[in-house]
Amino acid sequence: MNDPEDYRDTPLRSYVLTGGRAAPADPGIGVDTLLKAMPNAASLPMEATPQLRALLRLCNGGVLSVAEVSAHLELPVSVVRILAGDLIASGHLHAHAGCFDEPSTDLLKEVLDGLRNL
Amino acid sequence: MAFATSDPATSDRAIAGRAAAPERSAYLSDTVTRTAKILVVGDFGVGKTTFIGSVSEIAPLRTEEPMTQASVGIDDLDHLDAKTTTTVAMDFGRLTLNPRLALYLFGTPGQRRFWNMWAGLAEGAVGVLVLVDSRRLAGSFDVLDQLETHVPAPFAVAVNHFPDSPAHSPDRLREALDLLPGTPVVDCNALDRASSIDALVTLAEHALTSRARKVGS
Ligand SMILES: Nc1nc2c(ncn2[C@@H]2O[C@H](COP(=O)(O)OP(=O)(O)O)[C@@H](O)[C@H]2O)c(=O)[nH]1
Ligand SMILES: [Mg+2]
Repeated sequence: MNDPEDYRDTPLRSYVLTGGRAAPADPGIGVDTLLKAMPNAASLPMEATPQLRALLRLCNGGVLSVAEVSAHLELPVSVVRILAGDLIASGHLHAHAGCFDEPSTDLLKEVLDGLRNL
Repeated sequence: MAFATSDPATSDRAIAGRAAAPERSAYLSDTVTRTAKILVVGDFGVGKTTFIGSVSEIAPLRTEEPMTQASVGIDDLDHLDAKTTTTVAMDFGRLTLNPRLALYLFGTPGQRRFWNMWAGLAEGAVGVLVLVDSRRLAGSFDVLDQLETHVPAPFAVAVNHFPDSPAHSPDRLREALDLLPGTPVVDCNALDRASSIDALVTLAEHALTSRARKVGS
């Protein structure tokens, strides 16, 4: 059984949002990668899209994961990964954490301790 | 599968980049430098969204992904005007576990083809918590099969309790779900924070023992 709320039809707009690019997103950027604005970065070029501006504005407020940015901006994660990659390449954002490797044993212990202490 | 047509205003809002700024408290502490993730999966209506809402420190968030992204190709502008696509939603929440570490809980429909939509969601995960409704166990068989055969991440089963849930012993449920002996089964009430966190603790313990066994072998 499927949740009607979990599926819906929307106009296909991802092409537009990424400037119609086929460029694959940075494989190092995942849903739980943290994005942080670089202090003292130059302002965005004139031709920067509203989405890039919105992303940077959001990240200027504090640290958020790719998933959170996606939810706040109402953009798919696949689009945010591409846009964030652009802003990292241009020196406006810095990404850390979040990876596709198995978590280390130390990290597993830290998660367990953290959950037990809640 | 049922579909609803989206409100075009939603798309406009995103395209214009006018989405609301989050509350200050929605941002992570600057001290957080590491993240971990846990997937919460299960059939529709088992309580994934409720579970995430109970434990998350932020108001649960939702993101939607077009399903045809990969198959159509992102630069295929020819189809732009007419085409609509199906989106799949993912609910998620966050728990800051210590000043350096944040845990994300991602709730998705059970079928694995959906997880693949979010850039290897299960890859690198601490583990997967499978929520099960004991009133309709059959709804969980597919998810469990996939986890046992395809997914390297460890998983645990949390049996979510509804008022009219029959009282099954964990052993009977384990038998009915045909689980491997090592898979933990825990009772849970997704409406209750402490109970939901207990289920996460069970999963994290299992992840650690599975790791120790792997390293030791
Ligand atoms: N009594 C009770 N109701 C629950 C529990 N978990 C979920 N529900 C209810 O079951 C319905 C479906 O839950 P939801 O979290 O939306 O399921 P999802 O489709 O897996 O995200 C909602 O009306 C919830 O309020 C629970 O632990 N106890
Ligand atoms: Mg839900």
